[in-house]
Amino acid sequence: MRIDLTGKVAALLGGSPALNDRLAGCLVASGAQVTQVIEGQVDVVVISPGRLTDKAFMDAEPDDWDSALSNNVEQSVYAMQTAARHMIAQRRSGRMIILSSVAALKPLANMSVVGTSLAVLQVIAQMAAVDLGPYGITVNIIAMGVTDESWIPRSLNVGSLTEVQRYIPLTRVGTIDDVGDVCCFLTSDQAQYITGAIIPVDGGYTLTKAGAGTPPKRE
Amino acid sequence: MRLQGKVALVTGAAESRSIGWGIARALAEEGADVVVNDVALLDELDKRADDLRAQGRRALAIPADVTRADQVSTMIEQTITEMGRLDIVASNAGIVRWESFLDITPANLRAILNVNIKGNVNVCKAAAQHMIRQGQGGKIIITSSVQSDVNFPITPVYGGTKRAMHIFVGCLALELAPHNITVNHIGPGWVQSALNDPAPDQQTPEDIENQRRAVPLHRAGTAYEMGRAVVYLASSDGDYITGEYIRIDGGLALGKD
Repeated sequence: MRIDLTGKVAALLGGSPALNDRLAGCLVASGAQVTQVIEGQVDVVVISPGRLTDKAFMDAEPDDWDSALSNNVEQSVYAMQTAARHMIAQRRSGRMIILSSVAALKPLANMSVVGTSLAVLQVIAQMAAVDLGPYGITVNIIAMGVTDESWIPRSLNVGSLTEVQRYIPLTRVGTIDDVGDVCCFLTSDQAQYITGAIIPVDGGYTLTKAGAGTPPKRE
Repeated sequence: MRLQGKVALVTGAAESRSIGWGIARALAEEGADVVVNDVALLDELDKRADDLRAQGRRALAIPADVTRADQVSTMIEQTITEMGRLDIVASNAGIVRWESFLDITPANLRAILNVNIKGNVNVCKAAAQHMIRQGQGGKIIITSSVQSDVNFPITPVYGGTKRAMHIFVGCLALELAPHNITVNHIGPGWVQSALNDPAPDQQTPEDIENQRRAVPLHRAGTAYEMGRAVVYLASSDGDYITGEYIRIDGGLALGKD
Protein backbone atom coordinates (compact mmCIF):
# COMPACT_ATOMS: atom_id res chain seq x y z
CA MET A 1 0.00 0.00 0.00
CA ARG A 2 1.52 3.31 -1.06
CA ILE A 3 0.15 6.43 0.55
CA ASP A 4 -0.91 8.75 -2.25
CA LEU A 5 -1.90 12.25 -1.25
CA THR A 6 -1.86 13.70 -4.77
CA GLY A 7 -4.36 16.53 -5.03
CA LYS A 8 -4.59 17.05 -1.27
CA VAL A 9 -3.69 20.28 0.48
CA ALA A 10 -2.35 20.23 4.04
CA ALA A 11 -2.28 23.29 6.29
CA LEU A 12 0.30 23.20 9.11
CA LEU A 13 -0.59 25.45 12.04
CA GLY A 14 1.54 26.24 15.06
CA GLY A 15 4.73 24.33 15.67
CA SER A 16 8.33 25.40 15.22
CA PRO A 17 9.76 26.04 11.76
CA ALA A 18 11.99 22.96 12.17
CA LEU A 19 9.01 20.75 12.99
CA ASN A 20 6.92 22.13 10.16
CA ASP A 21 9.73 21.73 7.64
CA ARG A 22 10.08 18.04 8.48
CA LEU A 23 6.31 17.42 8.48
CA ALA A 24 5.97 19.27 5.18
CA GLY A 25 8.72 17.09 3.74
CA CYS A 26 6.79 13.91 4.58
CA LEU A 27 3.53 15.24 3.20
CA VAL A 28 5.07 16.55 -0.02
CA ALA A 29 6.89 13.26 -0.56
CA SER A 30 3.46 11.59 -0.56
CA GLY A 31 2.13 14.02 -3.15
CA ALA A 32 0.40 16.65 -1.03
CA GLN A 33 0.77 20.41 -1.26
CA VAL A 34 1.51 22.22 1.97
CA THR A 35 0.37 25.65 3.17
CA GLN A 36 0.26 27.56 6.44
CA VAL A 37 -3.06 29.32 5.98
CA ILE A 38 -6.67 28.18 6.02
CA GLU A 39 -7.74 29.45 2.63
CA GLY A 40 -9.06 27.82 -0.49
CA GLN A 41 -8.87 24.06 -0.72
CA VAL A 42 -7.77 22.55 2.60
CA ASP A 43 -8.07 18.79 3.09
CA VAL A 44 -6.05 18.31 6.24
CA VAL A 45 -5.01 20.58 9.06
CA VAL A 46 -2.15 19.61 11.36
CA ILE A 47 -2.13 21.54 14.61
CA SER A 48 1.08 21.56 16.61
CA PRO A 49 0.85 23.16 20.02
CA GLY A 50 3.93 24.66 21.62
CA ARG A 51 7.28 23.31 22.54
CA LEU A 52 7.61 20.55 25.10
CA THR A 53 9.45 21.70 28.19
CA ASP A 54 9.63 20.04 31.53
CA LYS A 55 9.50 21.75 34.89
CA ALA A 56 8.85 20.51 38.39
CA PHE A 57 5.35 21.43 39.57
CA MET A 58 6.73 23.28 42.58
CA ASP A 59 9.05 25.30 40.32
CA ALA A 60 6.48 26.21 37.67
CA GLU A 61 5.38 29.84 37.82
CA PRO A 62 2.00 31.29 36.85
CA ASP A 63 3.53 32.44 33.54
CA ASP A 64 4.47 28.84 32.69
CA TRP A 65 0.87 27.74 33.18
CA ASP A 66 -0.57 30.79 31.42
CA SER A 67 1.62 30.24 28.39
CA ALA A 68 0.93 26.50 28.22
CA LEU A 69 -2.85 26.96 28.56
CA SER A 70 -2.82 29.79 26.03
CA ASN A 71 -0.65 28.08 23.39
CA ASN A 72 -1.62 24.46 23.89
CA VAL A 73 -5.32 24.89 24.57
CA GLU A 74 -6.73 28.28 23.59
CA GLN A 75 -4.79 28.87 20.37
CA SER A 76 -5.26 25.25 19.32
CA VAL A 77 -9.02 25.42 19.93
CA TYR A 78 -9.33 28.58 17.84
CA ALA A 79 -7.30 27.00 15.04
CA MET A 80 -9.47 23.87 15.15
CA GLN A 81 -12.68 25.92 15.08
CA THR A 82 -11.43 27.98 12.12
CA ALA A 83 -10.40 24.87 10.26
CA ALA A 84 -13.69 23.12 11.00
CA ARG A 85 -15.82 26.05 9.87
CA HIS A 86 -13.75 26.30 6.67
CA MET A 87 -14.08 22.61 5.89
CA ILE A 88 -17.81 22.66 6.60
CA ALA A 89 -18.24 25.69 4.32
CA GLN A 90 -16.18 23.98 1.61
CA ARG A 91 -18.50 20.99 1.83
CA ARG A 92 -15.49 18.67 1.60
CA SER A 93 -14.69 15.94 4.04
CA GLY A 94 -11.50 16.76 5.87
CA ARG A 95 -8.96 15.69 8.41
CA MET A 96 -7.62 17.30 11.55
CA ILE A 97 -4.52 15.98 13.23
CA ILE A 98 -3.44 17.27 16.63
CA LEU A 99 0.15 16.71 17.73
CA SER A 100 0.11 15.92 21.43
CA SER A 101 2.59 14.17 23.73
CA VAL A 102 2.93 10.99 25.75
CA ALA A 103 3.04 13.39 28.72
CA ALA A 104 -0.72 13.78 28.22
CA LEU A 105 -1.28 10.01 28.28
CA LYS A 106 0.58 9.07 31.46
CA PRO A 107 1.71 11.16 34.39
CA LEU A 108 5.43 11.81 33.92
CA ALA A 109 7.35 13.56 36.67
CA ASN A 110 8.16 17.19 35.82
CA MET A 111 5.66 17.20 32.93
CA SER A 112 2.57 18.47 34.75
CA VAL A 113 2.35 21.73 32.79
CA VAL A 114 2.63 20.27 29.29
CA GLY A 115 0.84 17.04 30.19
CA THR A 116 -2.14 18.71 31.84
CA SER A 117 -2.63 21.31 29.10
CA LEU A 118 -2.40 18.77 26.26
CA ALA A 119 -4.72 16.39 28.13
CA VAL A 120 -7.36 19.15 28.12
CA LEU A 121 -6.83 19.68 24.38
CA GLN A 122 -7.16 15.96 23.66
CA VAL A 123 -10.66 15.80 25.08
CA ILE A 124 -11.75 18.90 23.19
CA ALA A 125 -10.40 17.31 20.01
CA GLN A 126 -12.29 14.07 20.72
CA MET A 127 -15.53 15.94 21.31
CA ALA A 128 -14.87 17.87 18.08
CA ALA A 129 -14.59 14.44 16.41
CA VAL A 130 -18.08 13.59 17.69
CA ASP A 131 -19.61 16.81 16.41
CA LEU A 132 -17.76 16.94 13.09
CA GLY A 133 -18.26 13.30 12.12
CA PRO A 134 -21.53 13.99 10.31
CA TYR A 135 -19.65 16.45 8.08
CA GLY A 136 -17.15 13.76 7.10
CA ILE A 137 -14.39 15.42 9.11
CA THR A 138 -12.15 13.20 11.23
CA VAL A 139 -10.13 14.49 14.17
CA ASN A 140 -7.24 12.40 15.47
CA ILE A 141 -4.41 12.89 17.89
CA ILE A 142 -0.81 11.75 17.68
CA ALA A 143 0.90 11.46 21.07
CA MET A 144 4.56 11.95 20.31
CA GLY A 145 7.14 10.22 22.43
CA VAL A 146 10.76 11.20 22.78
CA THR A 147 11.91 12.48 19.41
CA ASP A 148 15.08 13.99 18.13
CA GLU A 149 13.50 17.39 18.62
CA SER A 150 15.11 17.90 22.00
CA TRP A 151 12.91 16.62 24.81
CA ILE A 152 14.71 14.37 27.26
CA PRO A 153 12.32 13.56 30.12
CA ARG A 154 14.00 14.74 33.31
CA SER A 155 12.21 12.06 35.27
CA LEU A 156 14.49 9.47 33.70
CA ASN A 157 17.56 11.09 35.20
CA VAL A 158 19.61 10.54 32.08
CA GLY A 159 21.77 13.03 30.25
CA SER A 160 21.46 12.06 26.63
CA LEU A 161 19.11 10.75 23.99
CA THR A 162 21.34 7.67 23.78
CA GLU A 163 20.61 6.80 27.39
CA VAL A 164 16.87 7.43 26.90
CA GLN A 165 16.87 4.64 24.33
CA ARG A 166 17.16 2.08 27.14
CA TYR A 167 13.62 3.00 28.16
CA ILE A 168 12.11 2.51 24.73
CA PRO A 169 11.08 -0.99 23.59
CA LEU A 170 11.93 -0.17 19.97
CA THR A 171 15.40 0.86 21.25
CA ARG A 172 15.63 4.23 19.54
CA VAL A 173 14.21 7.69 20.02
CA GLY A 174 11.63 8.79 17.50
CA THR A 175 12.04 11.24 14.65
CA ILE A 176 9.67 13.79 13.19
CA ASP A 177 9.65 11.59 10.08
CA ASP A 178 8.04 8.86 12.23
CA VAL A 179 5.33 11.38 13.13
CA GLY A 180 5.08 12.68 9.57
CA ASP A 181 4.50 9.16 8.25
CA VAL A 182 1.54 8.73 10.59
CA CYS A 183 0.22 12.15 9.54
CA CYS A 184 0.36 10.96 5.92
CA PHE A 185 -1.51 7.80 6.83
CA LEU A 186 -4.19 9.74 8.73
CA THR A 187 -4.55 12.03 5.72
CA SER A 188 -4.99 9.15 3.31
CA ASP A 189 -8.23 7.54 2.18
CA GLN A 190 -7.16 4.40 4.07
CA ALA A 191 -7.72 6.22 7.39
CA GLN A 192 -11.23 7.47 6.65
CA TYR A 193 -12.90 5.36 9.38
CA ILE A 194 -10.57 6.45 12.18
CA THR A 195 -11.72 9.36 14.30
CA GLY A 196 -11.20 10.52 17.90
CA ALA A 197 -8.22 8.19 18.17
CA ILE A 198 -5.13 8.90 20.22
CA ILE A 199 -2.19 7.19 18.54
CA PRO A 200 1.05 7.03 20.50
CA VAL A 201 4.03 7.31 18.14
CA ASP A 202 6.56 6.57 20.83
CA GLY A 203 8.34 3.29 20.16
CA GLY A 204 6.44 1.74 23.08
CA TYR A 205 7.61 4.30 25.66
CA THR A 206 4.18 4.48 27.33
CA LEU A 207 4.09 0.70 27.76
CA THR A 208 6.80 0.84 30.37
CA LYS A 209 7.06 2.47 33.76
CA ALA A 210 9.49 4.91 32.23
CA GLY A 211 7.90 7.78 34.11
CA ALA A 212 9.14 6.23 37.33
CA GLY A 213 12.64 5.82 35.95
CA THR A 214 12.62 2.05 35.51
CA PRO A 215 13.94 0.77 32.18
CA PRO A 216 12.30 -2.36 30.71
CA LYS A 217 14.20 -5.58 31.32
CA ARG A 218 15.91 -6.96 28.24
CA GLU A 219 17.44 -10.44 27.92
CA MET B 1 -13.60 10.34 64.75
CA ARG B 2 -10.76 9.59 62.40
CA LEU B 3 -9.63 13.16 61.81
CA GLN B 4 -9.31 14.45 65.35
CA GLY B 5 -6.69 17.16 65.60
CA LYS B 6 -6.48 17.69 61.86
CA VAL B 7 -7.10 20.97 60.06
CA ALA B 8 -8.70 20.92 56.63
CA LEU B 9 -9.31 23.56 53.97
CA VAL B 10 -12.16 23.16 51.49
CA THR B 11 -12.56 25.50 48.51
CA GLY B 12 -15.89 26.16 46.83
CA ALA B 13 -17.91 25.45 50.00
CA ALA B 14 -20.32 28.38 50.42
CA GLU B 15 -23.48 27.06 48.81
CA SER B 16 -25.53 24.75 51.03
CA ARG B 17 -26.10 22.18 48.27
CA SER B 18 -22.48 22.25 47.10
CA ILE B 19 -20.13 19.30 47.04
CA GLY B 20 -17.68 21.56 48.88
CA TRP B 21 -20.08 21.84 51.80
CA GLY B 22 -20.73 18.09 51.71
CA ILE B 23 -16.97 17.59 51.99
CA ALA B 24 -16.58 20.14 54.79
CA ARG B 25 -19.42 18.55 56.80
CA ALA B 26 -18.06 15.05 56.38
CA LEU B 27 -14.57 16.10 57.47
CA ALA B 28 -15.95 17.96 60.49
CA GLU B 29 -18.05 14.97 61.51
CA GLU B 30 -14.84 12.96 61.80
CA GLY B 31 -13.30 15.59 64.07
CA ALA B 32 -11.43 17.89 61.70
CA ASP B 33 -11.37 21.64 62.17
CA VAL B 34 -12.33 23.15 58.84
CA VAL B 35 -11.62 26.31 56.89
CA VAL B 36 -14.26 26.93 54.23
CA ASN B 37 -13.55 29.11 51.21
CA ASP B 38 -15.41 30.53 48.25
CA VAL B 39 -15.20 33.46 45.88
CA ALA B 40 -18.85 34.52 46.18
CA LEU B 41 -21.93 34.03 48.41
CA LEU B 42 -19.86 35.27 51.33
CA ASP B 43 -22.83 35.57 53.73
CA GLU B 44 -23.52 31.91 53.02
CA LEU B 45 -19.86 31.10 53.60
CA ASP B 46 -20.06 32.67 57.06
CA LYS B 47 -23.15 30.57 57.81
CA ARG B 48 -21.26 27.42 56.85
CA ALA B 49 -18.51 28.31 59.32
CA ASP B 50 -21.19 28.91 61.99
CA ASP B 51 -22.69 25.48 61.22
CA LEU B 52 -19.29 23.88 61.76
CA ARG B 53 -18.78 25.66 65.07
CA ALA B 54 -22.24 24.48 66.15
CA GLN B 55 -20.84 20.95 65.69
CA GLY B 56 -18.10 21.79 68.16
CA ARG B 57 -15.27 22.33 65.67
CA ARG B 58 -13.01 25.27 65.15
CA ALA B 59 -13.95 26.84 61.82
CA LEU B 60 -13.05 29.79 59.64
CA ALA B 61 -14.59 31.32 56.53
CA ILE B 62 -11.96 32.78 54.18
CA PRO B 63 -13.08 34.40 50.93
CA ALA B 64 -10.57 34.09 48.10
CA ASP B 65 -10.51 33.71 44.33
CA VAL B 66 -8.59 30.50 43.61
CA THR B 67 -7.55 31.85 40.19
CA ARG B 68 -5.46 34.46 42.03
CA ALA B 69 -2.22 32.99 43.40
CA ASP B 70 -1.78 35.96 45.75
CA GLN B 71 -5.22 35.47 47.32
CA VAL B 72 -4.61 31.75 47.70
CA SER B 73 -1.28 32.42 49.45
CA THR B 74 -2.96 34.82 51.84
CA MET B 75 -5.69 32.25 52.52
CA ILE B 76 -3.13 29.58 53.44
CA GLU B 77 -1.20 32.02 55.63
CA GLN B 78 -4.36 33.03 57.44
CA THR B 79 -5.25 29.37 57.96
CA ILE B 80 -1.89 28.70 59.58
CA THR B 81 -2.05 31.85 61.72
CA GLU B 82 -5.52 31.12 63.06
CA MET B 83 -5.63 27.32 63.05
CA GLY B 84 -1.97 26.52 63.67
CA ARG B 85 -1.58 23.86 60.98
CA LEU B 86 -2.91 22.47 57.69
CA ASP B 87 -3.21 18.74 57.04
CA ILE B 88 -5.92 18.24 54.45
CA VAL B 89 -6.81 20.30 51.38
CA ALA B 90 -9.94 19.57 49.38
CA SER B 91 -9.36 21.59 46.20
CA ASN B 92 -12.97 21.49 45.14
CA ALA B 93 -13.83 24.81 43.47
CA GLY B 94 -14.80 24.41 39.83
CA ILE B 95 -17.09 25.80 37.16
CA VAL B 96 -18.91 24.40 34.15
CA ARG B 97 -20.25 25.88 30.90
CA TRP B 98 -22.37 24.09 28.34
CA GLU B 99 -20.93 24.93 24.90
CA SER B 100 -20.25 22.31 22.28
CA PHE B 101 -17.01 22.48 20.27
CA LEU B 102 -17.99 24.91 17.51
CA ASP B 103 -19.75 27.15 20.04
CA ILE B 104 -16.85 27.43 22.52
CA THR B 105 -16.42 31.13 23.25
CA PRO B 106 -13.07 32.63 24.26
CA ALA B 107 -14.48 34.06 27.49
CA ASN B 108 -15.88 30.74 28.71
CA LEU B 109 -12.81 28.80 27.55
CA ARG B 110 -10.59 31.16 29.54
CA ALA B 111 -12.88 31.10 32.59
CA ILE B 112 -13.01 27.30 32.78
CA LEU B 113 -9.25 26.93 32.32
CA ASN B 114 -8.64 29.57 34.98
CA VAL B 115 -10.79 28.01 37.68
CA ASN B 116 -10.52 24.31 36.88
CA ILE B 117 -6.81 24.20 36.03
CA LYS B 118 -5.11 27.29 37.44
CA GLY B 119 -7.32 27.27 40.52
CA ASN B 120 -6.12 23.76 41.32
CA VAL B 121 -2.53 24.75 40.51
CA ASN B 122 -2.63 27.70 42.91
CA VAL B 123 -4.29 25.83 45.77
CA CYS B 124 -2.15 22.70 45.45
CA LYS B 125 1.11 24.61 45.18
CA ALA B 126 0.41 26.89 48.16
CA ALA B 127 -0.83 23.96 50.24
CA ALA B 128 2.17 21.80 49.34
CA GLN B 129 4.61 24.62 50.14
CA HIS B 130 3.15 24.80 53.61
CA MET B 131 2.94 21.02 54.10
CA ILE B 132 6.58 20.65 53.07
CA ARG B 133 7.61 23.28 55.65
CA GLN B 134 5.35 21.65 58.28
CA GLY B 135 7.18 18.39 57.61
CA GLN B 136 4.37 16.01 58.57
CA GLY B 137 3.09 14.99 55.16
CA GLY B 138 -0.37 15.94 54.00
CA LYS B 139 -3.42 15.02 52.01
CA ILE B 140 -4.56 16.81 48.87
CA ILE B 141 -7.84 15.74 47.30
CA ILE B 142 -9.12 17.40 44.14
CA THR B 143 -12.74 17.26 43.06
CA SER B 144 -12.75 16.27 39.42
CA SER B 145 -15.82 14.57 37.94
CA VAL B 146 -17.22 11.47 36.26
CA GLN B 147 -16.14 13.46 33.22
CA SER B 148 -12.55 12.58 33.97
CA ASP B 149 -13.47 9.19 32.49
CA VAL B 150 -16.48 9.80 30.26
CA ASN B 151 -16.89 12.84 28.07
CA PHE B 152 -19.94 14.56 26.58
CA PRO B 153 -20.01 16.76 23.47
CA ILE B 154 -21.92 19.53 25.27
CA THR B 155 -19.12 20.07 27.82
CA PRO B 156 -15.85 19.61 25.92
CA VAL B 157 -13.81 22.15 27.86
CA TYR B 158 -15.13 21.22 31.31
CA GLY B 159 -14.62 17.55 30.46
CA GLY B 160 -11.09 18.27 29.25
CA THR B 161 -10.18 19.99 32.50
CA LYS B 162 -11.52 16.99 34.43
CA ARG B 163 -9.82 14.29 32.38
CA ALA B 164 -6.60 16.28 32.65
CA MET B 165 -6.78 15.71 36.42
CA HIS B 166 -5.51 12.13 35.91
CA ILE B 167 -2.29 13.66 34.56
CA PHE B 168 -2.21 16.60 37.00
CA VAL B 169 -2.87 14.42 40.05
CA GLY B 170 -0.47 11.73 38.86
CA CYS B 171 2.37 14.21 38.32
CA LEU B 172 1.80 15.86 41.70
CA ALA B 173 1.61 12.46 43.37
CA LEU B 174 4.99 11.50 41.87
CA GLU B 175 6.63 14.81 42.71
CA LEU B 176 5.23 15.30 46.25
CA ALA B 177 5.63 11.68 47.40
CA PRO B 178 9.11 12.35 48.83
CA HIS B 179 7.38 14.71 51.29
CA ASN B 180 4.73 12.12 52.21
CA ILE B 181 2.02 14.25 50.63
CA THR B 182 -0.60 12.17 48.85
CA VAL B 183 -2.62 13.60 45.96
CA ASN B 184 -5.83 12.01 44.70
CA HIS B 185 -9.06 13.02 43.01
CA ILE B 186 -12.73 12.10 43.35
CA GLY B 187 -15.19 11.94 40.48
CA PRO B 188 -18.75 12.91 41.41
CA GLY B 189 -21.43 11.91 38.95
CA TRP B 190 -24.86 13.50 38.97
CA VAL B 191 -25.26 15.60 42.10
CA GLN B 192 -28.06 18.15 42.36
CA SER B 193 -25.80 20.99 43.42
CA ALA B 194 -26.27 24.61 42.40
CA LEU B 195 -23.49 24.13 39.83
CA ASN B 196 -25.89 21.97 37.85
CA ASP B 197 -28.94 24.24 38.12
CA PRO B 198 -28.37 25.75 34.63
CA ALA B 199 -27.67 22.34 33.01
CA PRO B 200 -29.67 22.20 29.77
CA ASP B 201 -30.57 18.55 30.40
CA GLN B 202 -31.81 19.04 33.99
CA GLN B 203 -34.58 21.61 33.61
CA THR B 204 -37.91 19.73 33.63
CA PRO B 205 -39.30 16.85 35.72
CA GLU B 206 -38.93 14.74 32.59
CA ASP B 207 -35.26 15.73 32.33
CA ILE B 208 -34.72 14.70 35.95
CA GLU B 209 -36.41 11.36 35.31
CA ASN B 210 -34.10 10.83 32.31
CA GLN B 211 -31.09 11.64 34.48
CA ARG B 212 -32.31 9.12 37.03
CA ARG B 213 -32.68 6.43 34.38
CA ALA B 214 -29.18 7.08 33.07
CA VAL B 215 -27.72 6.16 36.45
CA PRO B 216 -27.64 2.41 37.18
CA LEU B 217 -28.37 3.13 40.86
CA HIS B 218 -31.30 5.34 39.74
CA ARG B 219 -30.66 8.41 41.84
CA ALA B 220 -28.46 11.46 42.19
CA GLY B 221 -25.49 11.22 44.51
CA THR B 222 -25.43 13.43 47.60
CA ALA B 223 -22.76 15.98 48.41
CA TYR B 224 -22.24 14.16 51.71
CA GLU B 225 -21.43 10.91 49.85
CA MET B 226 -18.69 12.81 48.03
CA GLY B 227 -17.45 14.00 51.41
CA ARG B 228 -17.26 10.43 52.74
CA ALA B 229 -14.84 9.50 49.96
CA VAL B 230 -12.70 12.51 50.84
CA VAL B 231 -12.74 11.35 54.49
CA TYR B 232 -11.47 7.93 53.40
CA LEU B 233 -8.57 9.42 51.49
CA ALA B 234 -7.85 12.04 54.18
CA SER B 235 -7.82 9.57 57.06
CA SER B 236 -5.11 7.06 57.84
CA ASP B 237 -7.13 4.54 55.79
CA GLY B 238 -5.88 6.42 52.74
CA ASP B 239 -2.23 6.74 53.73
CA TYR B 240 -1.01 4.32 51.03
CA ILE B 241 -3.16 5.74 48.23
CA THR B 242 -1.71 8.35 45.91
CA GLY B 243 -2.23 9.40 42.31
CA GLU B 244 -5.58 7.63 42.42
CA TYR B 245 -9.14 8.43 41.40
CA ILE B 246 -12.39 7.36 43.05
CA ARG B 247 -15.46 7.61 40.85
CA ILE B 248 -18.62 8.20 42.91
CA ASP B 249 -21.37 8.21 40.35
CA GLY B 250 -23.84 5.41 41.01
CA GLY B 251 -22.48 3.65 37.92
CA LEU B 252 -23.18 6.54 35.52
CA ALA B 253 -19.86 6.07 33.69
CA LEU B 254 -20.72 2.45 32.96
CA GLY B 255 -24.18 3.02 31.59
CA LYS B 256 -24.13 6.32 29.68
CA ASP B 257 -24.00 6.13 25.91
